[in-house]
Amino acid sequence: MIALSAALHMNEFSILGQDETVRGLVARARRGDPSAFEEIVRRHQDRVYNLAYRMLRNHEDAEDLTQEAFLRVFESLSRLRDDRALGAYITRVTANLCISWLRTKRRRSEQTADPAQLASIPASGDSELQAQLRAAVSELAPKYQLAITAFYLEGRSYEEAAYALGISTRALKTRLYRARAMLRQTVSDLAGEGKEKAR
Amino acid sequence: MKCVRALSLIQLFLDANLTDVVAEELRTHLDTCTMCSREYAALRNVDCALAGEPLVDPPSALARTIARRAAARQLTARRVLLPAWLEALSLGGMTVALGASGFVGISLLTSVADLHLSPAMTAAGVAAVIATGLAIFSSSFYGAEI
Repeated sequence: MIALSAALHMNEFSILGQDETVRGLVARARRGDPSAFEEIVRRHQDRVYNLAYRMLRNHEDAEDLTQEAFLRVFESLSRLRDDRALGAYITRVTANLCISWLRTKRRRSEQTADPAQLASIPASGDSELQAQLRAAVSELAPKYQLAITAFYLEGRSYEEAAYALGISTRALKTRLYRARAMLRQTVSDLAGEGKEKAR
Repeated sequence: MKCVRALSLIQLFLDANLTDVVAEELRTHLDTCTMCSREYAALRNVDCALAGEPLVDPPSALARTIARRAAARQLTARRVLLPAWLEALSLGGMTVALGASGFVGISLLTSVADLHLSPAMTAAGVAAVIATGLAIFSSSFYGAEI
């Protein structure tokens, strides 16, 4: 858990120590240097792809959304005021895209993944509880899904997750509180069903 | 501490977002209250499972693909930046420039006729004027395209 958070965390909110590098990269990318933008993508792609994947639960959709997010960031690089906030800005663009993607998908009633199906998606080191939770998270409203996903991807930091989502810390805490309460209820319901089946 | 308050603090406790004093009060309550400690255990399980969700690797060529698409989009954007009316204006300006350079060339030729230049020098002068006009024309056109 710590490794996961730390790996993602190192990428961005610790950029204060490498301001010049980030600024230099952004400046070169603004001038149209493709290698600079590729480097920016490399630095942030893990977080963006994982956020998209956790929200959409589909590799193809996650890849498409990641591409679209970075292309939007590229087009708005000239309007970015604080280069140091690039990572948070990228996350925010991704989060907004995830929400509109999910809304569109639900509206069209396209293959919204069946929770039972989601729970069966294998992942290395996966526990039964994680599988159940994954299914339960996908059932939450997008804003709660996003709060949960961003919070854990951003190294359990209220401030960073809230900043990335463009909401106040207080709002994030409220969403997290409600989301985890719902998840806790779902998990205990599932556990209860499991016990009944076992009988 | 009462159960209602304890239950409202459990998540903040899991996030290490309580002061030491309040955290200690909560710990004491959890040690003595079965219902709250059960709730704490359930929420801790949820928290650990969410935090332990494994990462997935993005496709290896993703960064390169995105950079290529960005470069292509940038090229298109530059072309789109020049609206049709501006291109027409640019073309008109180029034509005027070419005409003006021709006019200047002819004027120069008539004014230097009295100098009795050799045919080779005259031809070189005409070629230089035309080349200048063409250069202005082509550079403006190139600028309009890119």
